[in-house]
Amino acid sequence: MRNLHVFVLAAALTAVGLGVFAYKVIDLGFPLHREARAHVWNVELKLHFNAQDGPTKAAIVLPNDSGHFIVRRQTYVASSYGITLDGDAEGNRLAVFSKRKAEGEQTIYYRASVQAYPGLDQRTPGPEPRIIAPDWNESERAAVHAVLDRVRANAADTETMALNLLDELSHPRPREEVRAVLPANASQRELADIAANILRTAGIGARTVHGIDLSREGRYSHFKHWIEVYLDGFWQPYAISQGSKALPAGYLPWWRGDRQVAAVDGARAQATTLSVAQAPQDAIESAIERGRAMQEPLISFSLFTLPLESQLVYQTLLLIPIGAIVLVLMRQIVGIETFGTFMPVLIALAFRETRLVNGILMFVMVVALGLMVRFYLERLKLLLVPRLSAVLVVVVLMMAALSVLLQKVGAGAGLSLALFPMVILTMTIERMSIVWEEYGPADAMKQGLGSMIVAILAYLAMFAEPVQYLTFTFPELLLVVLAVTLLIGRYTGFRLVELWRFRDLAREGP
Amino acid sequence: MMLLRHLRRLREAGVLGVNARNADYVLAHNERARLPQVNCKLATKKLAEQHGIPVPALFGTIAMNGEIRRLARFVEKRESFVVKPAQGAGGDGILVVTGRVNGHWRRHDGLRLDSGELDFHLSNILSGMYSLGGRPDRAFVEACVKFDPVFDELTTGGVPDVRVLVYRGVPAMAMVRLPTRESDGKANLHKGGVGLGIDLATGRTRNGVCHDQAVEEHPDSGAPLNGVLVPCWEDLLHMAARCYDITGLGYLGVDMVLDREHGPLLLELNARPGLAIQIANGIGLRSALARIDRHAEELKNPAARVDFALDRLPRLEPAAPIRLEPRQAA
Repeated sequence: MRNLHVFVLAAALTAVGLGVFAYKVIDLGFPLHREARAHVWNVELKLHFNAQDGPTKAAIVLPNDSGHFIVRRQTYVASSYGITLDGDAEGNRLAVFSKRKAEGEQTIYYRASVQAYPGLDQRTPGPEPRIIAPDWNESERAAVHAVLDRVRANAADTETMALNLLDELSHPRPREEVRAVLPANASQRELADIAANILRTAGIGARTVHGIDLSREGRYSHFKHWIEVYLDGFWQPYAISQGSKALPAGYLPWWRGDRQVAAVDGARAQATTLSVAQAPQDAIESAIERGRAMQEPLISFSLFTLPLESQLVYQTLLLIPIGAIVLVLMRQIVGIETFGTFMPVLIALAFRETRLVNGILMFVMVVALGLMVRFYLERLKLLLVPRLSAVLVVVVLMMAALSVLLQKVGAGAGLSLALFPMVILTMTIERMSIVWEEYGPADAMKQGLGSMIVAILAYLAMFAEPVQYLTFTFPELLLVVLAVTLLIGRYTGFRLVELWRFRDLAREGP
Repeated sequence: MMLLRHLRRLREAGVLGVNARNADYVLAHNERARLPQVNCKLATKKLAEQHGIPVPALFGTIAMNGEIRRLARFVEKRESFVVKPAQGAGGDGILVVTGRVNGHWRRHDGLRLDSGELDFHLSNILSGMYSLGGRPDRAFVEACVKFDPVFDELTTGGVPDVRVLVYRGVPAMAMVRLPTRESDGKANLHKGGVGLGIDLATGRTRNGVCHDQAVEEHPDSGAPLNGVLVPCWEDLLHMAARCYDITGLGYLGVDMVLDREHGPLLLELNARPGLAIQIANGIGLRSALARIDRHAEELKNPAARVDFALDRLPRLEPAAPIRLEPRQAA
């Protein structure tokens, strides 16, 4: 009964821990290694025009989060222009820059970082669109219906119909009825517009999309164009090409519909320039940014929201459970004896600053010197608390002296000696001396060595790079650690040392 | 692979490990609220006296440093006495005084002890040096047991005692604990004392264990350990079984001594008795515990439980033959 309770609790804790972990890795894109890099691009749109000495209003379309792209850190540079944000019927976001009186050359910049999550869907969810069939003239209408009849005849569903249509339109030598609606040498944009219009004539939700190819770094001034078809609640993008209709992964949708990227009232010449540059960034940072953009509660309440200093404190604190479970394993499963329950974990923490070899040397030095002092004090027959305090004073003095000494010798590690937990060292010395006197040096050494081995193992486990990274990034994994601890709490099998201890009884087996 | 075979054999032998003892027996059968009465030896003594279980006579209690001088009055007319911490564990802090030498005390091992050393020992006890967690403690002085001569040859200084492991009121396993020179007069096995298994049905000792290793002779005197008949065996079992009724602890180690004049006396109780008793007896505990579990409901009183222990629990295999080659004279 009790075991069942523990098993259920442990299973629940493990499920929650691993569930949150999986969600953060798979859905939020948290990387499993510190080194992982994210796909981040800096995009800049520059709008240049000549104002005509009067009220000037420039509207530019801003890219939206869509598919597997997240747009963030948007900034505008437009001196002395007022900025208002607006939207249009197609769902585009607009930034409107206005000024009562502008004259001469004007430049407006829009900058943003774009992150890609290649694992995610390219499709954009959206409500059922209201389809308005376009107006064709008499000759066009006949051609459009002829085209539609042909593509419909070879199609099983909406999707294949759209694919067939794109094939027809992008054919190098199009059929006659296609030529009737398609101008000779039609641009990508014209192709996309006509494809969307024909699909809408057939009652299919379709729209033109204009965007950029992030895989092409550099400066250029034209956009890519493709279409999106509404299928089962999502806008599915299709490239307009003879071959694969799948949209290349680097295509970032910028806006949809008939408008241009920028429109200026009261200006003469206008030019837009785009620049795209890939920006290196820690994947973890971008996962957090993305979570914030999505207002993800797991991120809003995560350790990453703490000030950097507190983060560093927690980076260490979260490692203590790892040390604790090493301790539990060593004591319950292996059966190593230690001085004090958590002493090895605290010593392991101190090793972090001193590094392992230095730490062991310094620990042994302090304990050995402390023991000598403690044996001397034993002869003075002091009462317990004053005696402990005397040892503590001596330990502090010894640590200070050792630090100075090591510094003189030129070993910088001496300074980190101060991080050893003095009180714990004092108690260790006291208990070791009592064991020494009551059970002999062999037992004292055995327990001292046991504590040391557990401390070293705890150090190795706690400060392994992946462990440090995982505990801080995914603190929920500590629930799994807790579950394992609970299970070990009901472990009633033999300890490894008992195999040795009861060896005589094993010999008499059948 | 070796390890696995070893593990399987231990399991087949029904050996109880520390983890299983703690989880399945101590935690399951010993309610925490009942522990103070056995953790404090003074409380145990009082409890036993209330229920008519004989204990060594109490000479006095010292609770504060200022009272240390009262010791002289407690032991004025005594030749021998024992100083113990009320909450000491594992025999720590026990001082046995066996006589006087020209105004000084003599320790059990013959060493001289002046009153300053005795006072210092008392103040160490009071400041919690021997208690669990270092909490301040009390010291008490009681009569030194004049132990039954049956173990004379098997003992070098100190007091041998009988440990009976009582499970749900039924004596499940027993051993004699003999002090050795190494254990400094204490009968505790982890200090180097010798444990002798006892056949429950007959009260005869079997081979012993010292430092978790089987021994056939006393490590100091070389006397053979086999086949000694423990006197008053059934009385000892009765006393042990009754300790369950007065404490309510289901998994209990009962330590008793045999006094030359007063017969069996209760020394102390232990709520998490050690497992070396299995090595001393050469068998695992699990089969006895399981058998008791099957019948515990039917056994209503101490007498029935002792009878069960005498008749129905696993017998020890006949002790290994005593080695016949002559021992070297010391």
